[in-house]
Amino acid sequence: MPLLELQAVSKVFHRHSNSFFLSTRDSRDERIHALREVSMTVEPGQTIGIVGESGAGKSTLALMVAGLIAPTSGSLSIDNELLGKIDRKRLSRKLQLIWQDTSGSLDPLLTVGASVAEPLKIHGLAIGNETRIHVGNLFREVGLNENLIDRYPHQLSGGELQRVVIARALTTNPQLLICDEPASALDVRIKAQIADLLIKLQSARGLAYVIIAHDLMLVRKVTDYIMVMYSGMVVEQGATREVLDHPLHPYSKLLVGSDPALWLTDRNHEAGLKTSVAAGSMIIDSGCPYYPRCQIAIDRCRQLRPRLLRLKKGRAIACLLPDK
Amino acid sequence: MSEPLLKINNLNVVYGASAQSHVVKDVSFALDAGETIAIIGESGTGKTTLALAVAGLLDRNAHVDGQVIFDREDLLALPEEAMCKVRGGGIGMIFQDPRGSLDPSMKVVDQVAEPLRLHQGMKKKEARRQARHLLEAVSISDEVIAVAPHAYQLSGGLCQRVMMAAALACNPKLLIADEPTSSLDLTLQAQIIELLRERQKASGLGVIFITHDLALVAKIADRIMVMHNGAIVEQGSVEAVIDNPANPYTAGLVSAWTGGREGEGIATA
Amino acid sequence: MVSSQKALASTWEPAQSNGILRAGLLQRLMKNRTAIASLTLAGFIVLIALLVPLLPIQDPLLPDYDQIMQSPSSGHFLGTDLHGRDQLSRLLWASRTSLLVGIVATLMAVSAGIVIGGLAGYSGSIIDSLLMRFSDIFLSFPAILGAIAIMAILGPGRQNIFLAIALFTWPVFARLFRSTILSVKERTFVRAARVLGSSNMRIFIRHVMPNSAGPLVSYTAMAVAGAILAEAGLSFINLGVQRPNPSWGMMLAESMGQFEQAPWLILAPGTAVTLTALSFILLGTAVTNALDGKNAREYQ
Repeated sequence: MPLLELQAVSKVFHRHSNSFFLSTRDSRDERIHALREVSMTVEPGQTIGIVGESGAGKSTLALMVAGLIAPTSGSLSIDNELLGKIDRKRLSRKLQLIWQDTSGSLDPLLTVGASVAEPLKIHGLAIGNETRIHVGNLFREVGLNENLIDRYPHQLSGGELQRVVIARALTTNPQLLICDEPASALDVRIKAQIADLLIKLQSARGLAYVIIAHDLMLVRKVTDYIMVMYSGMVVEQGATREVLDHPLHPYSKLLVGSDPALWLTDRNHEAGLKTSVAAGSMIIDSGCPYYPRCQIAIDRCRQLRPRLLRLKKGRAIACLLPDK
Repeated sequence: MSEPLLKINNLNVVYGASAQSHVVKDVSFALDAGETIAIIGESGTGKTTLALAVAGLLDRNAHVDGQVIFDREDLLALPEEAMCKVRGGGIGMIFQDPRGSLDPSMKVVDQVAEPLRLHQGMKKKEARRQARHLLEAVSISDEVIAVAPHAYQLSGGLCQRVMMAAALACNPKLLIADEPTSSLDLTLQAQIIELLRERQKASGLGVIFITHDLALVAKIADRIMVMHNGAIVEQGSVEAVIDNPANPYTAGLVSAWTGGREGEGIATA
Repeated sequence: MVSSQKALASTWEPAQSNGILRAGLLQRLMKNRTAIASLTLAGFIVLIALLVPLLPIQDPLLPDYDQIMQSPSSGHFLGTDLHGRDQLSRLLWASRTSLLVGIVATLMAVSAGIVIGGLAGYSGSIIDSLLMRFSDIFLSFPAILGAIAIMAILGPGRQNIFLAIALFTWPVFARLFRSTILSVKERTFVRAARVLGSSNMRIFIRHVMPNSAGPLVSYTAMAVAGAILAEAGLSFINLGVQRPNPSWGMMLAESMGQFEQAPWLILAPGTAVTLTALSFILLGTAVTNALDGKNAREYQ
């Protein structure tokens, strides 16, 4: 039974000025497709990576699963319950979110220990002196020194804050962690350590992860399965190794070719990025959103929206010309 | 080329009067014309301070000591007015936050034209024409400028290209790039790096490239300097440092990448 | 190490402490000379005002027509006024009025501002628009004219002064608090609290309020100064405290005609008003700086 299931979820934002006294709805009212019919399932203990550039809809997806944004159409269910039917408190016991903005997700006026204790109090999971012991255990579990409990967020390094945020997410014993660009602002070395921590926690607690990233290092290291998103649409998905070693979609090829790790082994590797720059692909209503940047596009791509085509071994690709 | 383009001798930067924070410690190195040197290290290790010291952009409460010889002149001894001529004229800079580095209310063409008018005394019209050529060179076409003339209408990647065009407008001999791609997407990062490499080959520019990402260095740099706690702990050619890192910190950086690919990784602390 | 750990464990209960103090505002204030000076001065003035009934001074209301407009002497340190009343004792008793008006009127305004601004900022939408238009009505009056009008309608008296001053001060607090709340409630840690299962009320009290309090606190100190000056102004034009009770503004008004014969009658209350207002303004500035410098100071 899947832990998380998304069925053809779409999200459209409208860009127009909105005020009680000044409401203007002119013809420039734009529809922004943040998500286009995204479907996915996460099984318990599974790790799924979502990659793509900024504006691909990755963060919208994370916020939606966390219950902060409602879908325009489609359905999400968690543990076989529709997301809209679960109240905030119960949802928070099932899944937790690791925010991209690590330091911003901690209240600057609370010590990091108090921040971690907060959900314990909300859910009545610990009282009195128990709280501190509980927080201490969580700190140790994520590899933090307990002495840091009484520090404020601004006194901690980026890597330490990342661990604090992970510890806080574990307080409610969730089965699923959504990690939005974890460790993205940290240096590679710390990032590798955070990746190791995630792997360790997974084997200890049987967690499932959805890991959102715009670079491939973490994804390569931690995930079993990945989805490549472009402009709100899943353009390719499959086993991580398969997709990263043999990308099929032109965008996946571009993304994989841009991976700086390739330069480490081959300094003369050319990412081959002479493509023009497309602005506002999110407002394209019909056809393939990748069309303006695609080097192999033909006229048909402008009119027809490619569907996600199932291939063998869970691989799927949304392109009209998958063989080219 | 007997004389290096930039020679830094025993540069020290100390913040505040109490000498508590010695941010850059006794740094010396030389950079030849056409060469790219990468300064690598984790955040807060003094890389940016070093770059700002070279460009003379540090606050008043920073005490800078040593020599920064650029084009046979000691920049630290120059008065501020002369330094203004050097910045933008002889030394160009691009920063981590491309959006924040551009004035949102000014047209990007004018922002690229600004240094031309300032340092080369061009007339407005002429400078604009030149600015369009420069933008063309970083793959920003006239159509893009026509549709989105202001910086706030451009994506981060485009803003960084605009910054690059502005920094290179007056044909500087030295470009200081401070984490120019760390806020960009992977594909845009690769584009900027390739663009930088290409422009550097074409113009024989000397580049100081500051980053915490070893992989970028492999692509762009000739030499690597590893900074740790304000001091240079290791330097050498890219191949030498990546293949045989001598310093444990550097070894950690290298294995974070290669470890990530082989799936072994480093033990968590 | 073990014992210090235990000590920490027993004292560790962060839930109830005040947000701003938690961030070490007091410690930072103590590092600032302006803050220390203004705190000392304001504290001194408040202390005197509290202790006045215990001080061995003469009755401020008792006239002595044998000793009219005496210059300062050992019997009357600050001389006597037109009715032969001891100027020093009037000055000290007046400090109670001034501070009381300054503090009570400001507290009333702050409370109204927090409730209305908080409601507007946290609820948003139509409630926000309506409340803000309502506050605009008050903001569009010149405050002192509005206060004069209220006093003219209600008549003199302490409670009426509180009301008149607070009525035209609260909109500033409401606006300030609302705009801070609007920015704080969009911050990631507020959304994070939502995902962690916090109720709206808890989020508001635990995260939004403490993080919005900074600008409010610094402005409050300045508003106390404003209220003290406003009371002096109202009393000066006989719309403030009821005679014969002393107030600095009224003392100034009564002595205006005698400036040439008895300048000390003007100088004493004038200096008192200025010093008191100044100490609160400086305190406000110091608090603002201490709050702003929170991150900058962490450089080492």
